[in-house]
Amino acid sequence: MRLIKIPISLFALIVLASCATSRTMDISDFRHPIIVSKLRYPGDKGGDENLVSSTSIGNYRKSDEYFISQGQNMTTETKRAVRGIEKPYLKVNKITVEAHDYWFLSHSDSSSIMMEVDSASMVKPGEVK
Amino acid sequence: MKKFLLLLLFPFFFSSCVGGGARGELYFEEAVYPVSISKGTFLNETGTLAKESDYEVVGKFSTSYTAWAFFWGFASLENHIELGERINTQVKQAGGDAVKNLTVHVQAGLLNLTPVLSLLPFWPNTAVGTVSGDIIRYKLASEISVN
Repeated sequence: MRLIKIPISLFALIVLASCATSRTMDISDFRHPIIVSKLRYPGDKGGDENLVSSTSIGNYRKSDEYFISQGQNMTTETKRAVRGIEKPYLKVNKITVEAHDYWFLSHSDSSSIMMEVDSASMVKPGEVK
Repeated sequence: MKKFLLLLLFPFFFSSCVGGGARGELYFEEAVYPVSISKGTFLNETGTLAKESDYEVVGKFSTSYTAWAFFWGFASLENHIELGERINTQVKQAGGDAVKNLTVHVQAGLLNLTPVLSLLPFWPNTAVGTVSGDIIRYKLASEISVN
């Protein structure tokens, strides 16, 4: 009996761990660049962007259904951020990741990935479009 | 049988009054290569978007990170996580020019679910995750015309 105590306890912990909240941000289907580095193209020196506006894009998880809908909204929000800008891209200032799990008799979890972004254009200020 | 069930429920019981988490901030400031979260990348300063025929995928970028906190996740440490150097190392090794399709994943760490110990305020809480993407190499003009 003692011999099986450890595997059973481990199994129970693994079951618990599998309930841990998680979140993935995947916007790979978006056609405009979403740049997280200082450089935007090979050979770039950086610093000559034309910033248009600042916004934040986020996705949260409350339940699996919400998880799926927020995944879609991620692209919708991103599209909104570049609408109407010629040669647009998003300049990401930072990505905030967060995950919490609380078990007070019932399970409560939340995880999020937030991006602080500037909408920007490759057209320099003053340049004739 | 009763003993067996009690044994199985033991970790759930102690975990029914614990919890925690953490928050981290990811930066790529040290990266000397362009890094895009989407499939879009720029070819040059004119804002021309690279077509699929303009580059080839030469490798996969992948790295993991951990954000730390105490007091059941309410007091995050300074979690400025710089991933630029890791980008530089892996892109250089793969002989690439840029990274695209960057995917970010985050998950609550297993430490948060440790029975009994996670009740302590100074027990470390974590948020762990991975960042992955495609390393690409831009083709030379001669390579594009041949293909």
